[in-house]
Amino acid sequence: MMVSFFLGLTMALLTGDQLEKFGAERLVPTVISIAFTRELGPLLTGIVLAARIGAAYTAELGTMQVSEEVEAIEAMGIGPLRFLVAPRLVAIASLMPCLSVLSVVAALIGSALISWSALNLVPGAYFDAVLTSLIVSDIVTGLFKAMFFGLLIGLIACYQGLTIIGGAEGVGKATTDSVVISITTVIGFDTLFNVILTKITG
Amino acid sequence: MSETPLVHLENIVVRLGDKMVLDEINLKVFTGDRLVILGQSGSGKSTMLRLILGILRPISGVVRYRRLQVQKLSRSKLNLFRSRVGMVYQDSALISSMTVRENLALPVEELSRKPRKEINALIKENLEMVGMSGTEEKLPSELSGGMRKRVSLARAMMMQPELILFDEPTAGLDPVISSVIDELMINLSGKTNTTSIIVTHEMDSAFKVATRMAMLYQGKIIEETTPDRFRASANPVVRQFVTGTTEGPITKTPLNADSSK
Ligand SMILES: Nc1ncnc2c1ncn2[C@@H]1O[C@H](COP(=O)(O)OP(=O)(O)OP(=O)(O)O)[C@@H](O)[C@H]1O
Ligand SMILES: [Mg+2]
Repeated sequence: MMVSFFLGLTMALLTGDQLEKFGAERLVPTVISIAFTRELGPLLTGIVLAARIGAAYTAELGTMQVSEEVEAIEAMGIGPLRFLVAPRLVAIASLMPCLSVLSVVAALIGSALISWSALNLVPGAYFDAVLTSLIVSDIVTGLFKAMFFGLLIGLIACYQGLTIIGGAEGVGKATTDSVVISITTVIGFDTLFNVILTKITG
Repeated sequence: MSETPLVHLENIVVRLGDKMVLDEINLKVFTGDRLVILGQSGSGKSTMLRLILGILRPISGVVRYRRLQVQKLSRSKLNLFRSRVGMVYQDSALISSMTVRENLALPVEELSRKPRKEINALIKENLEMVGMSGTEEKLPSELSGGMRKRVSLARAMMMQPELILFDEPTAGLDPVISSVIDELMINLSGKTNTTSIIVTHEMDSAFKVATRMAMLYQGKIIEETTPDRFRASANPVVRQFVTGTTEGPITKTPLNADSSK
């Protein structure tokens, strides 16, 4: 959230600066709100959650795997996928959209402050512009993306945790791997998403 | 004996990495037996228990439980089969994020529809049996190794299994608790006709508990007989194990010197 707040500030500064050259600084709210709801909100949240929750999932499951706890669960006749993976996926996939929305709000507040101080755009007008420029499909796309990224991160993290080899050292390595892989994958899918989306709509 | 064995291993071959761990194993375990499996560290005893539970697949051979072929069971049938078999792990393998009570309740809550009250009564009874009453709210990390082992024994009994697999149940326990566990294993088959397969290194406890004994050596079962015959076995490897001397075919550095864990 802090990340989004500051990024919102920066974005507003940069775009405002550029757009001012064309006398189009009134477009700042539009640019920021669309960029964040569709793109940066889910993406930033994804990156942050991959580092925090994804890493925790891998470390937890990895430790359980190494100490034979996963095997013991299996040996009891309980499916580890249902018992260990499914609840984690549900948790992160529902957390992602919520946090993504919060991060968008944080970014908008941040950029509204900048617009106010640097571009003389009063917050009232700023949020008016935001509301008019946001369309339902942007919001839906953003939320859907966030959920999808959550699933991706969860899947990668759980997979990394459950397939650990090599004891406690393996847990550390798998955790780093998990974060790197899921961030890369999330960014990759985001790009793919945009390519497809512009193909369809454009 | 025309009775169907409870567990029947037929020509089992297991290879882990590039090591032939089990090489053409044949073994029958009958209902009510307490089979003690002996063997050096790294000889594949734990592997054999994993094989029976279907956690590990053999390269060739068949694992039978009654008439079921374990490797051919569907997911749900396999889980049903596993719920009837208890396993006590060498390192306890309690879920470290759960209290003792939650650990014991886990299999029952997940796999049966028993009411709360009954589960709690069962937890109490099983903890009492292993001498661990009053530890319900403790986390595994707050217990000693021996205590964890006893809790994991209680956990294995929660589903009232027909077969319990013990992987070194008395290793690391003091002599008093060890004999308590030994008695427990004996009582189990007396009272409920539970079958046990016990992996152990302690010869005293082995002879006390076993109704049959098997010796695993270099991937083969080199002896499988009653305790009396086992003690009198002419096989030099078995003799060395029974008497515990350094003279004999078992050397300090076997093929698998790396398997100290
Ligand atoms: N995942 C694995 N990959 C490669 N080799 C393995 C693996 N797991 C076990 N082994 C090897 O298989 C052999 C048998 O292991 P196992 O754990 O069954 O021994 P054990 O008889 O239970 O020994 P201990 O008494 O020390 O518990 C060992 O030599 C071990 O090195
Ligand atoms: Mg072992």
